[in-house]
Amino acid sequence: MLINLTDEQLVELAVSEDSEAFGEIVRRWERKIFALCFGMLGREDDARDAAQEAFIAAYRNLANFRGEAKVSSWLHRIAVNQCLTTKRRQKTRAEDFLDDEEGAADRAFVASPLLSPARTTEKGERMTLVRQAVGALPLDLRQVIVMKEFEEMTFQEISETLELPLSTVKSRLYTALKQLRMRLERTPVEVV
Amino acid sequence: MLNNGKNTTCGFSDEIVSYIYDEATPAGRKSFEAHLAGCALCADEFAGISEARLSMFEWQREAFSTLETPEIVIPYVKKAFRAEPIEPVGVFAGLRGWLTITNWPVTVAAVLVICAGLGLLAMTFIGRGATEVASNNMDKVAVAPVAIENKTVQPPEVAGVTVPLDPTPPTQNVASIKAVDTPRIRPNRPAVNPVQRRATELNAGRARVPQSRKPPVLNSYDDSDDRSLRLTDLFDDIGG
Repeated sequence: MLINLTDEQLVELAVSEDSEAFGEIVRRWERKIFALCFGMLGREDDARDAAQEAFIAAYRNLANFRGEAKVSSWLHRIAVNQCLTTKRRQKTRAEDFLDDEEGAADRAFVASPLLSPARTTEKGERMTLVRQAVGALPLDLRQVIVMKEFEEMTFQEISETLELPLSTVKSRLYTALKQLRMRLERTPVEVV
Repeated sequence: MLNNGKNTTCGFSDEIVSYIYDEATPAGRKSFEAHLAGCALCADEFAGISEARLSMFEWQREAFSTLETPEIVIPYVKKAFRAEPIEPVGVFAGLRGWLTITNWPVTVAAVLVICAGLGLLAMTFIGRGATEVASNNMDKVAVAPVAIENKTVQPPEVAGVTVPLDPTPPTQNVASIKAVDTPRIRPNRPAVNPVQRRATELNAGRARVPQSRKPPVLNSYDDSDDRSLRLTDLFDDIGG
């Protein structure tokens, strides 16, 4: 049964052209990788494309996986690289076209029917600010905070995935939250 | 409130994040709570970090938690068929390879094709041989001495009445050919030469010439009483 195998065993099977084994890897990690991509990019469409590309890249590079690192670390590295590629592409596109920030905010935030329109607007604006603030963080800080908040990983799991000491992970998360706080306090949301 | 951006956690930054994300050990939690109770700067710092974390939490809950996981489609590459090379061992190594489980349908099909081909060849040869036998026998028939019997033809009797025959007695004997006892085999007639066929057609056409048209007389000899077999008679027969 593939469910009982570890990620590393599944990759071994996938390398010998067992598509079922790679399918199991996808099933285990698709939500987390999607969450990571959403946190890194801030947009649902971009996150879906980046997650799809990340798994395709992982499948194509199965032969290059040496087994020295964990499969989670390998997948995260591929996903983060894919997110950076997407951001670079967006930067190039933003030079030619206007970036639709308002549209992105609408897509990123689903208003609750219980809230008043004013409250809904305020929340939407807050979401946009948070998204922009996270997007402005340095890559290493952004990755840790996204893995903690969106992938809901423990410090130990983040430490193993990023191959960093536990104290480094906590320190980076603290710094990320501190910078986020500074940016949010700098641009307060107007309450209508 | 920040203290001009300086680090004001008294070295408790790791404990702050562990406490906020509920990953502190029981002993660490107790120690941190005790410190917070007595340090305003750390308490202020803790409040700011908690608010930032809450913003992240809300963003994740409002914008992401309701999203469906995308369906990841992987363009799997089919395994290329690699024929395993059969190592020749002995004289019948190749034959052994054909008799493997995976190849037996192919082997059976090949054998059937070969048998069908041999069968066709055999039938062809048999047919030719029979033809030769028949033609040989026909030659024998032609060459074999014909026993001719002179027979006086008796007038047939019909309902007790003897039907008189033509009073003109036949000048030739009715001969019955006693052939050699051989089976009647239809000779293998050679293909009709198109030239011969055309000649036959022409002759047939000539035979349809009305009887009133008499053949040209080449000499003064009146051969109207001549009852011998003529070529023109044959043509007439063919035309009739």
